[in-house]
Amino acid sequence: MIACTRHDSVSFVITALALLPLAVLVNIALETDQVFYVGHYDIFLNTFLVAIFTSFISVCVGVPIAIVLTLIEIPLRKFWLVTLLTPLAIPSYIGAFALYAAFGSGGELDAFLPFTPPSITGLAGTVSVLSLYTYPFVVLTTRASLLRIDQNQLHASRTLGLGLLVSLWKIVIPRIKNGIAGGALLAGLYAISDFGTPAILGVNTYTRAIYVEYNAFGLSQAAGLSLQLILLVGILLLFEAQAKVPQTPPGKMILIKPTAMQKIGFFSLTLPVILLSIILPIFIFSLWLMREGIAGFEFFNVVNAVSVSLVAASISVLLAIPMAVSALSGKAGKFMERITYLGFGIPGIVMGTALVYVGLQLPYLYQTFTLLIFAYVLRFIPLGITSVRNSLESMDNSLASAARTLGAGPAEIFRRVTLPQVSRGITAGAALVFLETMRELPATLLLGPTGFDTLATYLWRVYEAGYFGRAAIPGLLLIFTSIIVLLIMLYTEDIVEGSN
Amino acid sequence: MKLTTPAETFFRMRRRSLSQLLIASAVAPLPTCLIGQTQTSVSVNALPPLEGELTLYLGRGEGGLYENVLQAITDRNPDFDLKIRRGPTAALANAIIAESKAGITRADLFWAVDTGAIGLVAEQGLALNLPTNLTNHLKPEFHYDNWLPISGRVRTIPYNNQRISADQIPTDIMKLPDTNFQIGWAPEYASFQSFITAMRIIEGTAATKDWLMKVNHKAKKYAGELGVVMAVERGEVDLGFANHYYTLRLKSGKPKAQVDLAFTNGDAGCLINTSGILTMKEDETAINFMRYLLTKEVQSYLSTEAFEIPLVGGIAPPEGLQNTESLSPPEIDLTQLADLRPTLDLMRELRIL
Repeated sequence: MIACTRHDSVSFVITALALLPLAVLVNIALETDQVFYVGHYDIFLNTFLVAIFTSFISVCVGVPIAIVLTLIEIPLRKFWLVTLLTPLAIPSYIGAFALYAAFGSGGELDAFLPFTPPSITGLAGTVSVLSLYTYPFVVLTTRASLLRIDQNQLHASRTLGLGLLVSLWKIVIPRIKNGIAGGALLAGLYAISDFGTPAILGVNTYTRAIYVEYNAFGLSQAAGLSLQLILLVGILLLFEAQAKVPQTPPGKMILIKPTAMQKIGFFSLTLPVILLSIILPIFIFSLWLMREGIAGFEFFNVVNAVSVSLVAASISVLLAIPMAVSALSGKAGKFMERITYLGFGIPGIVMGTALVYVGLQLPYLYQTFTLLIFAYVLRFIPLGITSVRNSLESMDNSLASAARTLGAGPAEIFRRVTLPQVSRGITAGAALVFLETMRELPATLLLGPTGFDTLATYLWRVYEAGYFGRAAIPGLLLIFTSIIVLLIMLYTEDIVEGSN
Repeated sequence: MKLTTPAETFFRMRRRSLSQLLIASAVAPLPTCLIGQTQTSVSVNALPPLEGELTLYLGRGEGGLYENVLQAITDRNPDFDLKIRRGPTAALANAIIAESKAGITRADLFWAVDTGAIGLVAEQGLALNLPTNLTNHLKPEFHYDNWLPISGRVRTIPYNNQRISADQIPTDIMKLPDTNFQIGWAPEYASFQSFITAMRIIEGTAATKDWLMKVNHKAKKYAGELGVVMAVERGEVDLGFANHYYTLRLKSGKPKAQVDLAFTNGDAGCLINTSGILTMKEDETAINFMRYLLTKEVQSYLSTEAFEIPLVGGIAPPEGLQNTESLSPPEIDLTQLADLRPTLDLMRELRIL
């Protein structure tokens, strides 16, 4: 129990820190009494619909991909996996903008296709774009769950005569609900806090209202509206809790050998996703790049982006482990874990401003890397916790007991028994935080050292200067560096797993 | 972050290198007298070299061509170390205010794309007074004590020249809703909100509310003002409300575009708003840095490349815009435009936002 208390205290400190910017927002919001206005109901409904549909479509896209990439033997599995995760590194406003420019009458694709593609706007457009840039949340959390289920049951069901799809539906899906729910929650939270997409595609959501307020110097109003979003975050957290199922003990990993038809089925499933979320934006930007011509690009932006993202990812998962342990060991821990999610639903620019206030309390740290990393960790720790918690839930506790009986101390048990079992969850969490940090913008702009540029800030600069073509190079670099770093992470995971 | 539509990419603005412009000019003797010159532009050659270190908060939005201007200035002054923090204008204004509340100073200069942000920072008493030998270079209507307008943009009525003619358009913005024209607008766009704020200040809230109500009945809504101009050009609507440069940029990429500009007379409809810079540090280099922004070279660059209106005398207006002398903008203190709150409330009450 001593270990538990220690975890709880770490958890308590992190939760308290996560509440700081929220307290600042409450303080700022209290400066105005004008928080509700006519039309609020529409905004709430629109935001709710965007969140729910984005979660739903992310699940529809992400779960099959996770199943195929985890259970089915296909060539270049790891490569496919990391490629399909890279949309998470691309800022969704860039994706939204490229898709908006590509589709519709007079769009860029109109000239290449024999027919006029439908235009991407409105609620349907927003949900489509956001789903394309959030489904990797579901892929990663589902994969972490899938790796821990006992696939002998799937094997048994197939031996007893059920087809592959029916077996997956009846045997596998019910056992990975926690992972799916975790990913859906993250997708939903991302959707309600995304700034650019609804604005570009013309849906009146909270973020759009917040954007108008913020730009009109109504910081109090923007903060007040952001806090209302917490209500939506609460609803999403409730949905996630509803979807939870008790975990079955983990078991053997079996790969299914697909038939040729099933392989074709897989490609037809992933191809549109890869096309729309990765290839199309890059194609559109390359088209513009050719029109505008190549201009200078500073390659140290890549080093900057990768190094801060790696540090943020490492610290986030390190802190996520005690939080996840604490969340599973008692009500207080669970409550604290839920609290950390609240900040993830608040639009980045509002959160960034709140963090400026927090950072200014520590003048020595203000506008330093330390504070920037701190901000990343606070913002993205829920991503780490979700992944680690899901893999901890399905951990086989009898192994730890056996180790204790055999004389291992707590440290040794953690290192040799627990850690290898949760390594998949840790990798998933680290990957999520890494990718999110790669595309993070407002905190980097407001809290980083003056003159510090990452790929995301460079992308934003060229985008808002109207040099859209120049987004092609940083866009490609975001994708390639993400692939490389994620591949390294996956191989590390193998090494940890192998030492088990 | 400014919302832009894909069509912006169709206007491939000719972007000459300002660095070349600034560096190519040979070193000329210093002028005998900088003080006392009024309303005329000086050349960069007449300016003292910049030395030391300054931190500039660059609030971004339109254009992004300021970046080229800054590059050219630092290239020209090797002993000058300019640290730049970039961010959305409103976010940087908020950060500066938060810093000052915490008693921390990080920004020496704040260059913002709109006067609202300048007004907000100045209201907190953070902007230092500027010497008159600096502000004197500007045309008199742009003289402010504690901030320096850099380049301007005028509110216009872009109209489809195949569907209507200029003389059909009222020269009084308040009469426009009573016409039968189909109107396009972008009420969520910050410049539009500044224009309504000016209308509120000039005509009063009741008249503005009436105006908004009438326009709202018949107008078609677009995401940004580039969208409005494009809709006018395509003939989706007869006319719209937009900053001047959208039309000029469209026409520079597509000279036969079926859109021209109409101007109202002495009311909010032809408000000239500006970008501006202020200093928070008592420093000679900061003042001299600001002098560079009013030079002939920088002002002509912003006019030809960004289609912004030069604010010092003797510089040609952007191509396609009539001489700025013939415009009759309303007399208004631009920093008052920071008072956006009642405007948003009004627009929300009418369910426009």
